[in-house]
Amino acid sequence: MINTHERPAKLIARRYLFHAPGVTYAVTTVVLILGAINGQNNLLFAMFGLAVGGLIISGFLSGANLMGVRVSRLPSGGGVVGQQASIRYRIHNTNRWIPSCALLIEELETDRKRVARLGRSVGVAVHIAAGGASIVEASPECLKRGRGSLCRLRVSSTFPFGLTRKAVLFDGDDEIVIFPREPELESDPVVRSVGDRLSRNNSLPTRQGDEFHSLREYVTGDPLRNVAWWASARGGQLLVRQRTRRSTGRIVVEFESHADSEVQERIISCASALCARCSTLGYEFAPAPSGQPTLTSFGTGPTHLRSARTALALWEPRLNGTIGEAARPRDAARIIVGPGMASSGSISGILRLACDDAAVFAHGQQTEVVS
Amino acid sequence: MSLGERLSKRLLACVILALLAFATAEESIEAAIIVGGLGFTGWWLNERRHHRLNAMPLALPRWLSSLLALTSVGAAIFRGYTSPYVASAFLWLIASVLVLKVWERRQPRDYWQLFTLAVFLSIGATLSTNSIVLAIVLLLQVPVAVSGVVTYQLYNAIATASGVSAASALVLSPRASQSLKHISRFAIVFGAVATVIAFLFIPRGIGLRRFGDFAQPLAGRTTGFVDRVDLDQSGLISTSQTPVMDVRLMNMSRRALPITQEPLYLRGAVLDEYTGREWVRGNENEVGAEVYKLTTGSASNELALSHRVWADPDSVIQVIRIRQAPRGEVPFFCLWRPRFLRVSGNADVHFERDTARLWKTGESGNFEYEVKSQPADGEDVKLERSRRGGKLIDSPAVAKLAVEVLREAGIEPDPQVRAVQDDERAALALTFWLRKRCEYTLETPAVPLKTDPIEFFLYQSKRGSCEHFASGLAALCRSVGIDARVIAGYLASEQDPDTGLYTVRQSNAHAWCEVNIAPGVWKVCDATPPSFFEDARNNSRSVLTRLSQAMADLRDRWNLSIVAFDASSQQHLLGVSDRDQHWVVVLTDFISRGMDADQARGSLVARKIGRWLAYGAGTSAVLGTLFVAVSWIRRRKHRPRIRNAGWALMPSSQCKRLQKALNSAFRELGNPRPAWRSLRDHARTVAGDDTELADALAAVADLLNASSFGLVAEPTAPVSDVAISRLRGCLSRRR
Repeated sequence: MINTHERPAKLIARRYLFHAPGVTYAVTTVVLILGAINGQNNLLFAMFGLAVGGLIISGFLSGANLMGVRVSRLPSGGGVVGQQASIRYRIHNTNRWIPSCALLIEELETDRKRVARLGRSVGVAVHIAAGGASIVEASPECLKRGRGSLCRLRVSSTFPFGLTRKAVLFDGDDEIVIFPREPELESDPVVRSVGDRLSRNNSLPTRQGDEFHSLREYVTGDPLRNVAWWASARGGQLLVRQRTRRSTGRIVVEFESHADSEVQERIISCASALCARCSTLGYEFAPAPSGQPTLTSFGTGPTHLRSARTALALWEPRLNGTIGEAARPRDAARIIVGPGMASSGSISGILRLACDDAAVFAHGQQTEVVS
Repeated sequence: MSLGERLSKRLLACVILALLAFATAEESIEAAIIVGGLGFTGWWLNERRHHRLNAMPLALPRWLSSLLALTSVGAAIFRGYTSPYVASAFLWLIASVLVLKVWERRQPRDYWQLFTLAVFLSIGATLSTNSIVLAIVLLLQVPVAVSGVVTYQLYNAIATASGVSAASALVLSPRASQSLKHISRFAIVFGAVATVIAFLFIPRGIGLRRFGDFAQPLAGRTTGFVDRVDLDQSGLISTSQTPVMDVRLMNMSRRALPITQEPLYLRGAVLDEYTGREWVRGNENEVGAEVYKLTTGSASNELALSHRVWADPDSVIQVIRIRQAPRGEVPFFCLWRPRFLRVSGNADVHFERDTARLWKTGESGNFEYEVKSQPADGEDVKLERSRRGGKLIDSPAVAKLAVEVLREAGIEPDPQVRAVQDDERAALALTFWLRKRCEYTLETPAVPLKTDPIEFFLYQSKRGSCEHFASGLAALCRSVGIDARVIAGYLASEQDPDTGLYTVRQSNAHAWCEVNIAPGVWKVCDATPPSFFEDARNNSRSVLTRLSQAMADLRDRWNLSIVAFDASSQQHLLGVSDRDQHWVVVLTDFISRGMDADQARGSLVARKIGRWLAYGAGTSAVLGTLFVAVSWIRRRKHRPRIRNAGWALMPSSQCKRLQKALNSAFRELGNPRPAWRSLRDHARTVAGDDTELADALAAVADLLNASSFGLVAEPTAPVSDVAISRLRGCLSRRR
């Protein structure tokens, strides 16, 4: 379930990890006491006392450091493949006396068979005052499109001396949507193939609804109710309000299925980019798997684009047909994104993009697009 | 102050203090200068440039530092193998690795390693010495190390989550700084309490020297006594004001003797063989030395050394307490020839009847004994010439001088003609001649090569220390047929008027002569001018000497209260009564016997328990190792392969080259890439305002990404070369 509000995680366990520095410390302490006994070396006896004192104080402080920690996840805006997502936590230190320092907050993968969609997610809380709270952000790398599940959370610390890594585990199911990466399209296939045909006779941009677009000079024949009187009075000439018109073009961004998961990902990435382009140009669009109903209803604008992206992000070949039940109108243009050769052409309103060469993915940005 | 600078300063302080501890243990200023200078230069070029000047650190290349580290290890092994001071070899190894580490490029784990090495160096210093200077250094180092380690934990956590640059640049809020201070102080106070508790309550005297000489500190040995007189070196002469022993004189009724201005000659070593440069003990005497085992708590801690009546009213009881006697041979210092000995504690006593030399072997620590002797060996001795005669000094020049001096005094120089009664007069004449003609000084002139030091002293320089006077007198006496020997010991002159207690310091070390006037009768002849004694008294009144004495007293207090804290001091301090003490003794004895099966003949149970404990420890160690190994393998096996889950990596030769170039650049810029951060993001962070470097890094990153995540063919070698060489150009420009 996508997280839309703050969710406190449930404390389930405490862990003590004895690592190399701790082993070194323990061995050194043993050597100290052996040396002290063997040589009756009083300075070594004193150092042994100091070492044991360090061990005790380390155990006490590191325990107190984590004892009162409570965590809750804050809503996340999702992420894009290849970029860093943002996962935020609210860390509360309920201990009234001892502050918490150097806390690492990590997401753990509980189901090892599940595909990891997020990279290592680590956040740090430098200092949380006794009884205080702090918001911590982790920025894991998004590795794969889909529903990134967040379930187990580990808050750990080696503070104060690094002898042991103490950790507390929290359980709290949450999800984060990882959107497909969108390549930049060098030439604009939508405009070239479909857009020209649909909006050839109208230079006005299409928007959803009759929204105000701009003012222009009055020409004979303009209805008087369109005259902007206040603006005309200020400008000294008659001006009329010009409105956007409702989009007449509907585009189905159809993507094909492919057995190779990497090719499939590229196809979906291109489909997502095309949806974004449609939205920019004001066309109503809906993504759809090839031969199946659209994943969303038709629409345009940022909200609809987000819905389309989410649908594409969550689409899985096994789940075809389960998301979106909108019927596909006959007058809608179709852009089919699928694997194939680089040749592209318009066949009775259908544009086929060869996905293999459609985009070159770079880590973090797109560098080149060939269509 | 940023977190990086804060950590850096603490680390620097910790390293400096560790090197000071090293220099203290090695007692070598040269070592301190060399190692400290190298370390500080490395720090200046590496850390300071990085934090303060924001410039590229000038670090040693990895291969060179590895080579030097290997060389250090080899040198340490060689040193440890050839030298008896293994702890010293260990110290040198740690110090050299520490300096090397300072010269290396800095990563978060390097800070931790530097802290660890610094602490190890201080521990190593403790294995060698227990001096008060080291204690002061450790006292300073502990808070610095605690604060530094706490800061490091914070730094490391931020570096793990947000990268090194973020960790270095972070400025802590005042509240966070305050919290860290409180935590550090709390830890230090708690550690101090634990230290005191451990020091006071851990039972002493168990398991001593079970592992040989490991952790036997050399410091704390304050007697500084050298049982030879080397005329080329001032081996015996010392200006140290460190107290060596306390002497209390009593008559046979065990009442304190009245205060006297006369100095006391406390005999230590009898040196009767001259090798041409130095006076040493004759070996033939030691062969026939008698050995007695004296143990405390019984009548067997007493030893009668003479059949003569030691209850003579002239006899003097000397109760002497040697402070921190070293392990090995320690002479029983006493006035005149010892007649009776009583020790407190266990000791193997050796007695050389011929020279009346008395010494002990055993463990180090405070040592107290009581010895009885009398001023002269009786007036009833029949004077006749000793048949022993002593080894003549093969020097015609010395013989000629002795003859001239005796003729001037009207004494027959030829021993065949001279009456036996005149031997003492002859010795006194020679003594007075030396006192009159030669000057006492501690700044003795250097003896030319192939020149006998005694001849040089008597004929040319006529200036020297007590060692030269004693040697000269012994040589002159022997050259005219009077047996004489050099005695090394202490001259006690500092007496507390209230208690009558003599305090003997290292600077009171003295050499004088004993002349044989009859078989078994030796008379003290000190040729050193009386001004020496006056100086010895006046010195104690000057400001500098008093300051020096105050320092020495401080050292002495340290040695007595801390270094020499033993089982008896512990029981005394904790107020353990004899009845309570019984079970402590039984327990310590039981454990001690359990630790040493050979000595546990009478305690089969202890031996069995010890064996089972050893089996248990061994089994636990094996099982623990197995558990750790299995856990590690399991953890590695089940680590999620997040890299291969999304866009598959396609490592190829070009990819590897690009990856290597990029990682190398990140490391060189002091900011290695965290595994989770994307290449381009990290490149942008690392480059900062340097756009050219940012572009170069981005170009390599893009090529790498394109070949890793895209379907295009991997970049060709020339394309990679161009990007890599551009990046290297930028880096060299930055350098």
